[in-house]
Amino acid sequence: MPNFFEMCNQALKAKGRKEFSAMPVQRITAQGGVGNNDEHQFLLSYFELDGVGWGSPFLLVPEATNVDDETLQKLATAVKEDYYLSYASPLGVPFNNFRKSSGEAQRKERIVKNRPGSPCYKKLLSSNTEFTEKIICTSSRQYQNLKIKQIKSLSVSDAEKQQLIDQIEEKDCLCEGLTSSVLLKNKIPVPHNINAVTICPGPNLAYFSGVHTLKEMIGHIYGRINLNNKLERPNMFINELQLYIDYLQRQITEFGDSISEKQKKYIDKFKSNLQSGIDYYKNLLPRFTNFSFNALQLNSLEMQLANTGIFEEV
Amino acid sequence: MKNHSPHSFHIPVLGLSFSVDTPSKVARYGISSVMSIMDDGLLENLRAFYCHQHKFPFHHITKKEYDSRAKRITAYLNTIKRIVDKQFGELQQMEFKEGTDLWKYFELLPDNSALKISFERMCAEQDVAAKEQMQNHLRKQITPGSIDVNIMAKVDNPTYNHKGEPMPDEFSDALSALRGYALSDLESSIIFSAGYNPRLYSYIEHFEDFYPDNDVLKKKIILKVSDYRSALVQGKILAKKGLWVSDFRIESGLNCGGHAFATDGLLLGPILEEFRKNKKSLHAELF
Repeated sequence: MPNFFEMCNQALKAKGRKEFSAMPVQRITAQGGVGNNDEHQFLLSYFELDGVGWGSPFLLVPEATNVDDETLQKLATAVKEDYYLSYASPLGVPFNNFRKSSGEAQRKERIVKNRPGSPCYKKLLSSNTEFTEKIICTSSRQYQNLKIKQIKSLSVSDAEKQQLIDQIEEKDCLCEGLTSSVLLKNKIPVPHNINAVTICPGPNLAYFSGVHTLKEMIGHIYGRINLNNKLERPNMFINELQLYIDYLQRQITEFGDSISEKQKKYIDKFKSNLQSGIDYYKNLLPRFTNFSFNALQLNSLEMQLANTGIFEEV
Repeated sequence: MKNHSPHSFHIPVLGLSFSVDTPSKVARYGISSVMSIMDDGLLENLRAFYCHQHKFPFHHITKKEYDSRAKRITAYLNTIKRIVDKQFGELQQMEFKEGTDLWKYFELLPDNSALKISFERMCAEQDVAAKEQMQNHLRKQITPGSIDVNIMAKVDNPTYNHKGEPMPDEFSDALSALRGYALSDLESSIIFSAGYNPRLYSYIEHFEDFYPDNDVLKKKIILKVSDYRSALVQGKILAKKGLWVSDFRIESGLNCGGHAFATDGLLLGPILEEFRKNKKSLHAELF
């Protein structure tokens, strides 16, 4: 079989276009949960990456990103538990979220006022046709009203109904929530007066606090200074592994007793992939001389993995 | 091919708005960053704001205008480019003196970069004429960071005209966003994230800037991938269209911001290991 470069040139030729005379650059980069210079360097040197993405920590750098003052202060003083994996996205994909956002407060307030869901103006994430001919958004008030009405008419226990309703009401409007921050910061009028802010940092932001200058954050990336807060921080790979084990446990709990054959297979594959990951890290251990990658942490996570599923439905 | 950023990090897209103008804040220091171009209404709002701030002429593109989504995106991106060009042009003219943006450019660089080392050498130089020559050389060496954009490939709803009738495919959310970028003046990269959208990938073929011109790609493609296999599959689909993937970007499935596309338990370390092992064969004799 031909390679990318040949394939590409053949296609260019077939189109009557100029071909590449030499193979163009093809970079490999990575991002997600990198937190200090040791990790940054390790990714570049051991994995031979051409670049590393640093996202969430820059939310604490007003010189680089747009976070309104109120939200910025909340991020700057947040604790680990404020960052969580939610079901807030109408796309149905898990969404890393921030508990203290004004968007989250607004969502709850609407439920208390018996007006769950959001007015929908942008419709970017609409995908549902359960009740309507045109697609609508599962975060919209229109959808949530229709769906809740349907749930209420089901012949199941009140507790089950409430559980189903809670799931519907967890969906939040991201189109407005994720855009209001830049408008508030620049004092631009917010359309439709919806000024609640949703913000979606990665869980790694728990290890950063305060507000920083661009020079400070870049100094941190390159190891000139240290901006990590006092919270004990396992390395990025351990952190990711922990997130995956938590996620696995959550899925097992959700599947419950009515787990299907297909779901069982999925869980088995998931577990075995995690176990190979742990084995890989154990072998890699000797190379991690610079940062805290200790065998104890790995062993304890390995035990957690072995125990997933056991503590469900206490 | 244009030089890459002198930095070993980039700032990825952060939500719809948190990094929506980040290049106008950091690109002049050589830092590459990524903006979301999903919400054209927001971009239009911000363009009005920036045009006012920089005293650029501003003509509002109303939602009713034909192809307004793509037009608004193009106009916004051209505005950001204009701001960065202006900032960078000014920076290049500045004095080598603590407190200037030019000084900051070098101050921020990684200590082991060739540029930083030349800068340190210039600082240590005692001879006035030699120092000036080195300074002029440094001014020519620097480049701004890339002004990149992100499209969530699968967020691709159809649009309707004012009569409520569905518009043709190329007016869908993702395709019109791609068109908005493709027709802009930017020389940068577009990142496709959140899955494979065949209609979108085929649509890239329509735009000149994604093809090489004397080996130069005016606009480059970055694919956000979850593992090695999807890099191979998607890279091949694009290569067969004559489109080169300039960067495979791997993101942790759960240890990331916003939407978390968890893998089936595949962890970042082993995924990166596979890329490392296959780095050469990925674009050499694999398949």
